[in-house]
Amino acid sequence: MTASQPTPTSPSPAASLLADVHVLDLTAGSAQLAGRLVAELGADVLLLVAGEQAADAGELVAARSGEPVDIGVLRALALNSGKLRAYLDPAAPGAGKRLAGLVPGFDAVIVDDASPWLDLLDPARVAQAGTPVIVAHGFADTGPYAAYRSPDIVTMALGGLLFISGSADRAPCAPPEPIGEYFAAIWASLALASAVWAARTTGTAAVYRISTQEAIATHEHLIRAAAMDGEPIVRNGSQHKSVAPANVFPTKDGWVYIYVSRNHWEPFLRSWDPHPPVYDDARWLPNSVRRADAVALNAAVAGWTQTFTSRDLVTRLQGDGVPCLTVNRPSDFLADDQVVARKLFETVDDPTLGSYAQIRFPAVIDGARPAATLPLRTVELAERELGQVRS
Amino acid sequence: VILDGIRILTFTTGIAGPNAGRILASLGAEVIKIESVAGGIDAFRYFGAGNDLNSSARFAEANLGVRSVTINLKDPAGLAVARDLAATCDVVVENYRPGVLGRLGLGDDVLQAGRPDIIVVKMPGLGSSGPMKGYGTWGALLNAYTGLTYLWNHPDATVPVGNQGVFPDYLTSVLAPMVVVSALLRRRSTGAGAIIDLAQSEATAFCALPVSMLEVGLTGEDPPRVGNRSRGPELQGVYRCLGDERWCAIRIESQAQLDALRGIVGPALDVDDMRGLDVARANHDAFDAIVSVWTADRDAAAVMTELQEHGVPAGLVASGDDLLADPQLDRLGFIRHLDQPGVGPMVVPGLPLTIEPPILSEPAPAALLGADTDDVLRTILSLGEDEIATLRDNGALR
Repeated sequence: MTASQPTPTSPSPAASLLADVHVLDLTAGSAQLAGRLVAELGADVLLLVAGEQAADAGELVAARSGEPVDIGVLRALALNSGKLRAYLDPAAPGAGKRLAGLVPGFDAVIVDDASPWLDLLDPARVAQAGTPVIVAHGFADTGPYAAYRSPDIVTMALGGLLFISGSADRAPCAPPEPIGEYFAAIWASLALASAVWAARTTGTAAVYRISTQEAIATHEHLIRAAAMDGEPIVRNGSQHKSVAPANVFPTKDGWVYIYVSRNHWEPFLRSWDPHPPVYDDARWLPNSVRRADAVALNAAVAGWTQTFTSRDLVTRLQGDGVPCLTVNRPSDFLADDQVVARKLFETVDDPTLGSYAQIRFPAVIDGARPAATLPLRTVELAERELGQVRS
Repeated sequence: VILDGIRILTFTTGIAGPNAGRILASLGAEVIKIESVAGGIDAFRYFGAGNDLNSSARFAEANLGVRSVTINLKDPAGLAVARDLAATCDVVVENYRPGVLGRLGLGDDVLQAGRPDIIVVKMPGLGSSGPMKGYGTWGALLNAYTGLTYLWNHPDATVPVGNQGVFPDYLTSVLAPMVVVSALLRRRSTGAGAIIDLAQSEATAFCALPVSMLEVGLTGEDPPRVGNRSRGPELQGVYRCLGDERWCAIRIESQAQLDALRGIVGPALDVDDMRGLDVARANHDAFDAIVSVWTADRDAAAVMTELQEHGVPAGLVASGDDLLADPQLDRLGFIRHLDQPGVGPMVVPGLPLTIEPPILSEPAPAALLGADTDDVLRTILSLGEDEIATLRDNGALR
């Protein structure tokens, strides 16, 4: 281990659900989030990277002084926090043999189709030898798109979510981060835990394959609605497809999201004071009636919401039993009373980056949240091959 | 199957909790969902179904393979049955508002008294503690609360637009089973159960915005809204094609891909300020205009196919109808056809996970409300027919 590298904060023992699990992470794309998720729960995750892929925390130091952020480095550090990292050139002589020698020391291997290691790894053979393998694909390993290039905007498009993203009068709008790939990565983390469970309980070492396109296509009843409701869901901003008012509304100092389903309508009318008397008619109770007249209803509601600050409106409506939350920027979320009270973020000290707020695993386990992890810690592969390093 | 022998009791509504149950059932667990017409019906049973609690296709889609038991938890005898049943279960999953199960008499202490190594996974919107724990939340509100709605927008937009979907529900519905299996692994090693508070808002921030959260935590600055542009060195856009609402997403990640695109688009891209990736990136508006002219009178699927065949990442922006006709999704039967009691023929997506050797359960229809009550009480709790009849007559099983 390199002396100057930080030591990751160990998750609190109570929260370490995967303390005896060891994962070899060969991913190079956004499936790297899967390894971070299990690392947050205490798993020992070794990320094997080619030298030219390596991102270093030092490259972000300037960003703390207002310089432009290197998004590639930022992404690599965000998705790999809590892991160990070792370097190996896949093109180096004997790289495949070294990889094969490493695998039996792990409970599972994860790889994606962006990885340079996929060509050196035969998942079926590795599984046959007793180590389960998780493979994250943009599409799949077979089928007409198997050879297609699959960055997130492409799988979001072919998975159906891009079609319903953004406002109706503009082009479909891509999400701010590759959430389709992240969603597939969560599936990969489930596959990792399941693979270890199956191996330990039944001795079954299998190959688990996740398709990002398929993962995205499970959302929003897209397939069922198209097949059974007579018309596909269309793009309409944040307006809920079957409920109104359920949208973003302006306030004095920003925006809130209000959701008024059938059960909330009468409490909402009491809170919406004064409201146009026409809405007191019982015919407005069904969601479908209000949704059909959403344009006029939303305009009337917006006229009222603009008389409040976001905080006052959230407090008022939630107090009356009506779901309402502020449209936050990430910085607002970080400083939100609820987020602060639950200690979702922890200030960590990194020898390279200094002190900063790091997000922690999104669950409290037996009263304790897993401690925040720090960026990748580099280890010598030779040490790991000798079994000397555990995170 | 993977979770063979694992029994899971659920108290769930909407998408996040029910879909977690569906996934766990597909992994082989016996998942038993508790509801009651006396208070505690999954809200999705009313979606598009009028007053017939068994005719909602939306409910069925999120509860495939899950057994249904009706127990009135407000009835002392019903509560006792639920406690006895929980004591036979490995896991309890719930996504009611914080404190509801406790007030009904099924709090953590009660569940642990019945089975000390039980694993309880709660999936509240904002968490089970904190000043806003009791707030009502739905997926779209959590998009807004975490920053996703603000960031998911074109840079020049004056209103936070976002997406009408409930990404928080879906991602938490997968993360919860991952946490369940992780807790089972620890229990296998240590014998310890777990009480897990998995907040959907926190899961969304962690799993949908990991880079943004690191950026703001590190720099104090919010990420910019970039719409369809990449924040990296790539060229990227969504371009209108021939027909109504037909679009194709295209991304250029390398000089070779830009060269390939230029070979396809022709002279309009064969100009000095479009030949190099960096210079084209610096002239992104002009790049978009050229590509838009080229795609405008072409079929979106044809654009995708031609570009992909030349190594250029591209995908038609698929509507629901496109998904139904997609040859890749039809591969290995991802799009499933089943006969759902109360609904009729249904078309639903399968799981995005394949396993070789196959150790997943095929999706079974969702159970009719209360269809498994007698069988569960008879076979799991060993109650006799007379005892079950008495409970039913007294209103404990409705």
